[in-house]
Amino acid sequence: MTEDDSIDEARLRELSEQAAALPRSIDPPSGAWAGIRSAIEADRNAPFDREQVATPHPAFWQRPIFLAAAAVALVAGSSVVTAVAMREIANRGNTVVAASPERPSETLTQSSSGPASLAQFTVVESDYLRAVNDLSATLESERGSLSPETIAKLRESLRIIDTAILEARNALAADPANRTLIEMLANSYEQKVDLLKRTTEMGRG
Amino acid sequence: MATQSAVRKATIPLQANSSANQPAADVIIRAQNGDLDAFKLIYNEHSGKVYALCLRLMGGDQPAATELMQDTFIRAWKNLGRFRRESAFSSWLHRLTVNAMLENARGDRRREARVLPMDDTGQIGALAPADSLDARMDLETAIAKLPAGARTAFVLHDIEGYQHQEIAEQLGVAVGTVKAQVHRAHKLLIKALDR
Repeated sequence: MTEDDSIDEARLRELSEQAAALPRSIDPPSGAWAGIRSAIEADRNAPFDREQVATPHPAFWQRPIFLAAAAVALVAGSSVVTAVAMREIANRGNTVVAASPERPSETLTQSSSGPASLAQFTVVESDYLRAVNDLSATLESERGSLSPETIAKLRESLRIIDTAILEARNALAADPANRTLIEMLANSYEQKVDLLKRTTEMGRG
Repeated sequence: MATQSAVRKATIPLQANSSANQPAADVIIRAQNGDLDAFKLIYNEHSGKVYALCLRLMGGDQPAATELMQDTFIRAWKNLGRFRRESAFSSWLHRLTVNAMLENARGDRRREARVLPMDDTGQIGALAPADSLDARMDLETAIAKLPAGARTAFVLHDIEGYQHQEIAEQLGVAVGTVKAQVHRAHKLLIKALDR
């Protein structure tokens, strides 16, 4: 740097502070989404490119540390909500209603002949997604009956489970026939459905 | 099928709000499976930040920024299967935005010469009268008038918070070039704002 290139430190700090304070979000023009949607729909003749899902990166999920951490996180996350839910129910003096709704994964987890590939699991997955959507909608309508603490714990647990779902889903995309991963994914979905179901029942209790 | 479609269109506020920079896994998976309504949820959550980045990268040119943002989201749709949770979703989108900007610039010979070279001797033009703009608008205006290379480096470093090394990797240039461009931007901006 020459002398001519020097910048007053105080002025530079001021500039950096001003830059950091600039808005990070600016509303785009209202018609922007329509253009994106049109372009995507025009391109829809081409099937969704599943080949792109494959990754050259090493399969991180194969590391024992990840599997252990994921398992612990799932159990811990679910248990925390369950504990909060149970305490809340106990405080109300109500009885827990046994979970009875259908379980999309029943045939998968109780049988060794579940989906053998990602393509087959997609059928089961749509049932999970439907169940999750239905329960989430119900829960949303009943959220007034839940304590802020329960809602916060629920959100945190859902975040943990969602992370596990997405990790497994991405790993499956790279290794579509891996039954261990399919089972992990199914278990994560099962956890999510159970968690939402228990919380919904608690809200009704 | 119709029922399933209707169910999938339902929003999931409890989950969608579960993380500031991360759409819910369900939403991403649905979009990865070709659900355009789920992708719109992602767009709704991230378009403001992406548009702000586009607007600054394109020097305040709104039509160009809108086009770049649309290009970014179309690329995101096509490449959603490649997204991994190793980085935040917003970071992934930002990277797509910068890549789209660079590729578009490479396709435009007039821009190509202005993206990063150090021999760009452009100066910030005269600003609008200071009393007609607040300090923020002064800075936005000054940023918009920076030479493209300095502007890109400044926006990514000082506004978006990326490190020199990250910017260098993303732009495919040497770290020293990025540092020089950021320094140049600082100098030009201070000069413009002090007028």
